[in-house]
Amino acid sequence: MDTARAHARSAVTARRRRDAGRRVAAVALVTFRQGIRLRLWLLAPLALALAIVTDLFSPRFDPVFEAIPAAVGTGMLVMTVLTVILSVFFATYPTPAEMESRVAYTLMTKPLGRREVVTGKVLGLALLLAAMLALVGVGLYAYVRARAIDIRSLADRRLQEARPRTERAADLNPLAAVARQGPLATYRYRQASSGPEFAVRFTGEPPQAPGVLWVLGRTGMRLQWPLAETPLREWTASGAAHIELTLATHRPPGAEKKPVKAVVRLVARPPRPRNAAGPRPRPLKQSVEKEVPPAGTVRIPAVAADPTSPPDGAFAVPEKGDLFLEVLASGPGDVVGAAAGAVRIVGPGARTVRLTEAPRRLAGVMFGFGRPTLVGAPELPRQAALFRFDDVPAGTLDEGATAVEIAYSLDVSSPATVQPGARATFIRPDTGASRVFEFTPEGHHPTLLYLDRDFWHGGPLRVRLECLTEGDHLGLLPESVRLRLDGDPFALHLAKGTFGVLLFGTVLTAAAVMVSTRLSWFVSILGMVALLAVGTVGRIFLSYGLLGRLAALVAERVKPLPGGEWMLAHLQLQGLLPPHTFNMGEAMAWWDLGASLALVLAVATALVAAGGHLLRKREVAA
Amino acid sequence: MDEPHPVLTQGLTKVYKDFWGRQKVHALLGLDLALEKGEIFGLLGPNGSGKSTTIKLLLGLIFPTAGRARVLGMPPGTRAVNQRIGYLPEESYLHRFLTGEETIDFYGRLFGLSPRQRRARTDELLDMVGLDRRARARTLREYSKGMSRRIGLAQALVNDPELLLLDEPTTGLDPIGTREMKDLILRLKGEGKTILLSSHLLADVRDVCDRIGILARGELRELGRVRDLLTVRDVFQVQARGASEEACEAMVSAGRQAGAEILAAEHPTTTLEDLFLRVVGAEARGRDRDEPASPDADA
Repeated sequence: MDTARAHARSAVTARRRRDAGRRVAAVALVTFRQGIRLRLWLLAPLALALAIVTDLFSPRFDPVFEAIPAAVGTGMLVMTVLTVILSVFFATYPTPAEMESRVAYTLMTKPLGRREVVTGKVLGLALLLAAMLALVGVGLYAYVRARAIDIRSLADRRLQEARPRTERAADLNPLAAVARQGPLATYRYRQASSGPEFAVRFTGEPPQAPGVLWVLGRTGMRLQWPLAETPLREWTASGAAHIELTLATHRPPGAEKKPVKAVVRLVARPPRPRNAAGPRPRPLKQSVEKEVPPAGTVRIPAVAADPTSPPDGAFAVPEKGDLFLEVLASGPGDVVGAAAGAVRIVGPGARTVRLTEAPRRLAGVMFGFGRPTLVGAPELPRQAALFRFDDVPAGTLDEGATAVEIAYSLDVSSPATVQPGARATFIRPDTGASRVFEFTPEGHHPTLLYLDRDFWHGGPLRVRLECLTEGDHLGLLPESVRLRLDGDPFALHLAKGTFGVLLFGTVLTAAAVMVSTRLSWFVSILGMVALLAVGTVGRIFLSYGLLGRLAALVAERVKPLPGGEWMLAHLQLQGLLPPHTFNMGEAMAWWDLGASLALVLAVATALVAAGGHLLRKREVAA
Repeated sequence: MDEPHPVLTQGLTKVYKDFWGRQKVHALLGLDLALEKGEIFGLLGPNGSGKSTTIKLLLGLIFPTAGRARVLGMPPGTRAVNQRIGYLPEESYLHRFLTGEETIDFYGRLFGLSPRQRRARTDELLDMVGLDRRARARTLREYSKGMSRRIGLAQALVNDPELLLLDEPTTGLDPIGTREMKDLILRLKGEGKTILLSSHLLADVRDVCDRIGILARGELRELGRVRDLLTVRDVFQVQARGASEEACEAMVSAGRQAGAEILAAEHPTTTLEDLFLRVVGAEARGRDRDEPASPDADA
């Protein structure tokens, strides 16, 4: 009996849902028809024409590498503008128009829920937007394909011309890739498991010193120990103290026997002020340069004093801030090292504390971007950066996809008169086999290096990067060395980007419909403009003052969560648009699109619910 | 269990307020009304008397300030009520970018009709209101006033409603259209539907309504059966066909001898509407149906 009743109930529920779906579809269809009958679709060919004209008349420095990304980027921008125009000016129109023309009198006397009205309108507008974006997308695809025809042959000609003049063969790989695959090839990346780890490459055999981490002079490399847990500040407050360091030095065989100098630094990082967000204040640094004696022990006095005027050859320990001890090699070619237990603090009454932990080895930062920097040298010893690929399945690099890409956006700084040089060494840790490539690093284009499939097509791999030119600097990121795999077919690639714009537009549309449930058309337009303005300049408010502090606190907590970084990036509406790398051919990940879709569905549902609530409270005929 | 009144109001009051919430217009004051199933009820009154406000309250388009209303035994504006009623607004408030067929199809979808049912219902209703094939394919912005009223009525009937609320149903119609509308209303009554219509065209109301209520300044001033309200109790009228002049005079004399005061003894006149229909008849009807919109008609 109960089962029969439950069946009957579920049948009724299913029928209600089906009927609600039909009503929503009816409203959606009418809204779509309204857009078509108002000839809004004409905006799509107009937008396409605008994108093509803009692209044709924009100067391109290098058509082989820039023409297609620029055309795709222009197309995406025009699609975004079209979306904004449609959302601001048309999505705000149907509801106030129905109120003012009193069509709502007729509509609301039908068995149509007000939330169904809002849902139907959002769906209809999204459908209209999808149709228009599809029109632009198809046109853009045809245009880009037409543009690509000449580029392939141009790349081929340039390759033939450049080959005899090129010193490093690998430098022609990007051009060869365009000549072979055409400029419409897309790709996805596999990141290194870890890196960059900075180390020193020695002349001849590396020194046999277990546990010692080495740093090289004039590279900014340093060893660091935190002193927060030590009684240094307490001891200096009650009397004199000193820091003892046991350092190792290395000099290549046959080198001049001059003493190695080390720079020892006491760094105090001030706490973040309570009422300010943004970057922390700059740390206070006190440096003492010392010759490292043959025994390796260096002793630096520490006193409690004003850190801005420390006594000569001693550290003045400040009252506040986290304390760190750092060691750098002083001169060019000087190599200094230390192991765990190298630091000892001696206080009043000969009390001592030894730091048992090993130091951290940090790279120098030469550019304003804060990226660790690889410094060039023509001879060994030389700084090197290591990237590890530990979990690449066998067969990952198929035929035709054997590329390793070295840094798309390196910060490259070189003496103007010297052609910078760099070396990438690929090492298979399982067999010990290696391959060496020399290339010219560039900040604008990635360097593609092709690995012989017989050498490696999966499994563990190490990539060691070195700069070969004196005065050369490369700023490195974890993604500076990555495997470049085949992406989507270009049509699918463009469809994904267009879908991203549609998701962005759907949220805008839902917001516009919600706003227009209670306001006139004109005021709704103003409301949407204000919303977009706040969305654009909102970041400013989220950077300063109380709001900024709150935003920083939220970000600190969300970031470590799974998907936290993605959430933070998508908190802004613009986060739904295709990323900049999309224009360059980097495929959008399916999971990213899926997550964006889920986010849009959630936000749009909330906006529809809010719109339905506002409409329900409204007297249609008042 | 007793079947509820199709429309029941108790102390129904509506006061319109301005932006600051101050009372502005007392549109309806304590209306008590109960409609019987299957009757045609006419709500009469001058402009601004509260007729349209009453209908909007019964449709849930506006909310009462005080009192309560029940439509088919339920609160107005709910989905269950809207599923069973039809509403013809005083002007045809419809999407003007849709064609006649698309309009009926759209409203059919809102009532959950299947595609086959919608096709059949669209044909049936458009035939019933007299919109031919050419008119059906045109968008409503091209419709004349008469065609707009017809499509408006068709949408009100799409769900075969139990209760019809018609706001000024004959406004803007020519005599032929008015007659057809009245015939249609009587036919719907014959099908058992309850009809509430508001109008200030007294002749129309007299022709079709069973009962009427007269509103003035938001208050119900008169309520009752049309015949009862219009009957002049102290006057008696005899109408006869085929009597000679002599016979007529004999009847008048007999009346006088019986002590009656003879107020009028003459041949009756037909109504102007009857005369018009007889003269222009089917020709005008046919022309009106095919007539495209004139700029004046859409103004």
